[in-house]
Amino acid sequence: MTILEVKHLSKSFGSQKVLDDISFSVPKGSVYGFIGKNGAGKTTTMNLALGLIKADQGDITIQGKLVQYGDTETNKLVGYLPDVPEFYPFLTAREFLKLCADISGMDAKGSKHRITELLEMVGLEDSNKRIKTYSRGMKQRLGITQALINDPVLLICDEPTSALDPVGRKQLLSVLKKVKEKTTVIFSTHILSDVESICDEVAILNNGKIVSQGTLSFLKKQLSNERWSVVFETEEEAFKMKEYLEALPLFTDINVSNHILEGSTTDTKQAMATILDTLSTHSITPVKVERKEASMEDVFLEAIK
Amino acid sequence: MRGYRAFLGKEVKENSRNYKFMIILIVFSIVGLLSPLSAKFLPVLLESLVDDTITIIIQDPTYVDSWVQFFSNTNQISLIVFLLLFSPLMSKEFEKGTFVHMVTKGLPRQTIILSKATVLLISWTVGYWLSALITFVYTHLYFSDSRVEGLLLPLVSLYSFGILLLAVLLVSAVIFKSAFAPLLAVGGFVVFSFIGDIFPAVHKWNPLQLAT
Repeated sequence: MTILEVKHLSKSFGSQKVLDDISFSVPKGSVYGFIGKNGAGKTTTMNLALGLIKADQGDITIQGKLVQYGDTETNKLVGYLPDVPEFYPFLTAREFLKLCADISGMDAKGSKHRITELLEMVGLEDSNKRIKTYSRGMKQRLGITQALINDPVLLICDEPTSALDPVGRKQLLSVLKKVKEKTTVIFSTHILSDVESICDEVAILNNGKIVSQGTLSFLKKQLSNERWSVVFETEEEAFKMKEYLEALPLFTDINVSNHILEGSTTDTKQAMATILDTLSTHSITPVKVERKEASMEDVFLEAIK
Repeated sequence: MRGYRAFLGKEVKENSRNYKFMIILIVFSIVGLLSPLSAKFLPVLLESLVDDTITIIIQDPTYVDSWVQFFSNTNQISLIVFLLLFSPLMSKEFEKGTFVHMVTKGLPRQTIILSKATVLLISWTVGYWLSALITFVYTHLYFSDSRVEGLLLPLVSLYSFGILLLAVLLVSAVIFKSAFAPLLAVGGFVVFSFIGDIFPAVHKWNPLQLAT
């Protein structure tokens, strides 16, 4: 079942086209990563899905309901965590969550229970201080509780981890993993290791267009170039080997640094066989020969080329 | 309705924890006290300032002077303090992005503005009538001839003029999204009213009449 569907969405600010006919859909129960450079259009897409700005063209539906600019009904189904959430500094966490619960139309008894449960989940349960004394990490954790207060079917997070320290990031990612069972998550970021650790599917956005989308393993398989490396005992051997391989069209992008010879190839299997052959023909003994697993970074860099 | 109540609750907490309500109460009480007091003691004060060789003839102050003081002080002090205190009421939230949580939870934009308007109206009403009550009580104490005939119309007029300026403040705060533009807008509104007063056609309908 599809939770969020975006069809032919376009948006310009003045003469600058920020989104150019993008379409994608997010299946239920997944964590969907939205990757792109700064200014690629990630935040714009999210603001459109929340009805905060008006699309020039295209439709967004959440659980089959159309998102409308302005006061949209679909916001009752959605939780939103902005990149740097700001709260009313004069309230305590509990008071702020009570305000959110009341606005979402929860009944008083249910909301009290829910607030306690959420504060426990993010480790803010014993904080009776006002929000103005909170650190950034605490605000981010409070941000996720306010986004989850109304049990949304879809959680939209705009670069939730980019402002956090490693510990805060790990906590936040584990919270996202936890909520995945009940809630579908869309999550924009440019931190690729986060994508690898929690996303099921991703879309890569560049210059207002989706240049690549699918599951992580699918995208990795799609890569035209794969990396390999050979570690030698001496630099001399590495340079010798570099000379031999450079003569062959199969190998590209060959570099030597610190006894290590690295490069790309279009056909890893063939390349490995050739490397092993060349090594034995010239009686060079390597320390290590490696076929490198494609990383999300390779996928991303190739996609935005 | 629940959204309105919840957001209004937040507004009340905000203004009491920021001491805005307290400042309003203090300023309006001082103005209320000061008006009869200054009317009573102005002649004495003047006499002590001026050399003995000069004689100035001042009529004994009456309860009318007390109310004249009240109206001019409310115009010049209370109303201005009030506008200054509440001018950032929208801009702070726009700047920090705190509305985003409210709007994305389905709180209608009208409700937000309605709550803000309610707080403005209640603060102005309580402050203004408290100030008037204090002036009334002290005028009664200081001036034995104190009467209330004809007082209601100017009191209600100035009160309505205050509400008009609050409306201008709120509208411009929503449009300009900054802290100073609303003040300029209210100032501009008053200046234009003064200029418009020159023309007889405008004079007849000028809201400035409420305050002068």
